Amino acid sequence: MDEIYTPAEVVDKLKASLGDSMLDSSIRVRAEGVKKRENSNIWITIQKEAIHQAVEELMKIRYPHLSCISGYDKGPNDPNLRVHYIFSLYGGIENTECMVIFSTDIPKADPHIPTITDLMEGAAFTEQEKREYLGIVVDGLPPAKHKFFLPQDFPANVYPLRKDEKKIPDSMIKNLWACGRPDNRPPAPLEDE
Amino acid sequence: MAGNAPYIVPVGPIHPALKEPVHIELTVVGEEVISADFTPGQTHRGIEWMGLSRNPVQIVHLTDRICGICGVTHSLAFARAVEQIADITVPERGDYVRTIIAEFERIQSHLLWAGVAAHELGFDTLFYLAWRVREEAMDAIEVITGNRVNYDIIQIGGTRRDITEDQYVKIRKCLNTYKDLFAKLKKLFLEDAVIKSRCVGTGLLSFETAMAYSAVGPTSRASGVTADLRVDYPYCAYGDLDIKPVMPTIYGSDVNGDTYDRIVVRIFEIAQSIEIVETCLDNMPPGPALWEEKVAKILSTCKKASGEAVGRHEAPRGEAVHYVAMDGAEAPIAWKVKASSYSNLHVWPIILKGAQLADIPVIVASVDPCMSCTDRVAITDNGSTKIFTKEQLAKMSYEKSRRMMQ
Repeated sequence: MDEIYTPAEVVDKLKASLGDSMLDSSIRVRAEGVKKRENSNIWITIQKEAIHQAVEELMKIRYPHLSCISGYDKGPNDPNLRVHYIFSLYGGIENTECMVIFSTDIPKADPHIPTITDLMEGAAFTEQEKREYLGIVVDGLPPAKHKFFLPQDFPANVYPLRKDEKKIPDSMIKNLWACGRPDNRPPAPLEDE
Repeated sequence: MAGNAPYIVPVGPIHPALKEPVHIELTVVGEEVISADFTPGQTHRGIEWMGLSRNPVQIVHLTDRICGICGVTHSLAFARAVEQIADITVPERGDYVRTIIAEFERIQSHLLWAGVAAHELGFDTLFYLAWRVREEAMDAIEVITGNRVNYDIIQIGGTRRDITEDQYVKIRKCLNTYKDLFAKLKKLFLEDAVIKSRCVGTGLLSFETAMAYSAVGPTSRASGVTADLRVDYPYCAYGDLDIKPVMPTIYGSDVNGDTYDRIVVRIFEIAQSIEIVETCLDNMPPGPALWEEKVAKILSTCKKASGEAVGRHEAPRGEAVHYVAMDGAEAPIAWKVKASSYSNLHVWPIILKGAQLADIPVIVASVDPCMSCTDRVAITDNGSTKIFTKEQLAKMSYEKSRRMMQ
């Protein structure tokens, strides 16, 4: 548990336990400042069924810090939503922290992901946001008592960040810019008058 | 109150004791809070959504408007994400200027918070003092950037302004004032009997909860989590500095994770920031502060780039994260802002549980909440609200001004 692995070793360990569920991985290293100390980000693409296991494996390496779960709609013509689990490992150890980002595609037709709140309680907040904004069904996350981010009277089955037919319909958008210019003003004085 | 306990006490969205748009619902028995719930989503400016129709240089200026206090946090995190995608290397001097302004922001933000905390305790003399002292940092920021809020100093590839030799003198003068004042500030906040009696042992956040809820910044450090992005994840000029995270033990006490510890961490972080700015000024590398002067060239480079990246920065309140995805078009296809308050808010139900009703304002304030940072998008006319057009609003505003002039 206390052993510190390099980013490449972290990838190897996850690869060994996730097997074919891990589709792709890359390590990106940046160096900044005069001394050019390096910071690394690990990007891993996994299948959506493996999310829970991936987080579990990460916790075996060391308890990670969850920044947030980010997600977006890839567009009206794309059948998938893309979700990222942004973690960082080795927080609290000087110059060794690295980010681990799990990305996965979720079909809009069946937007189910498993909850990770049984592993880390704090994920509930950000999972709830995915539920309200992208319409992702988080299996295992208990229904919330009220909406967290949206107005309480917001209609069901409309998701503000979706770009397909479940987005906010145009009729609901306030066209403030469409009110036009006032026409009861006197004309501007001409210069030579 | 008549009837039997428990009672529900709703606070907010806009409430005299809490000047931010958040709704808190407390269940109390007598004076003791037995459970707490909250709804943060009251701000719907939709900045993330706005960004999806703008180019990265325009978004940098937009990011400054996410928070009213953190003028550099979001633009720095966003710019770092875009730089990773477009493979832009920031000049060394640019890294140093970014670090200096980020540390000044920490000083002014912590002093602002100290004032608010004192005010919530009913100690308004200290509130005025803290905000008076904060002016020095605001002046220094104005000298460097030209603005007091919304600094707009970050550009993709560096900073829009450099720090010149004559500015050094003014900045050092400001830092020396703080050094002289620090002992006084420490004494007023940490040795005062009233503050001690109100803050020691209230709003407890254990180490385990801070970890499980992924709390960030001074809130987590006060609970014994040694994480500090500046130390653990070297970026900008922080990798060149020899700094350690500020823990409550610095004041010779144990880690309790209470409101008092959160005050200790923030007060000592002011001293740390002063040292960081001084070290950076002494070791400023020569050269330009910006990778490319011409905005058109920055834009064309960003336009060619495609990929995704995460930019991070340790803001005064804790880690801020910006996720950006670009696909070779002018505007990014995805932009997600995770501000530090977003991570810290959900510990509220835990730290409020068991507290006395009178202590609620200072416990709520002790995580330094910034509700505008939790901004999301919801553009809606659901039939239940009345809508005013721009013209009607302008008319109402004229009418009110006329009424007031009579």
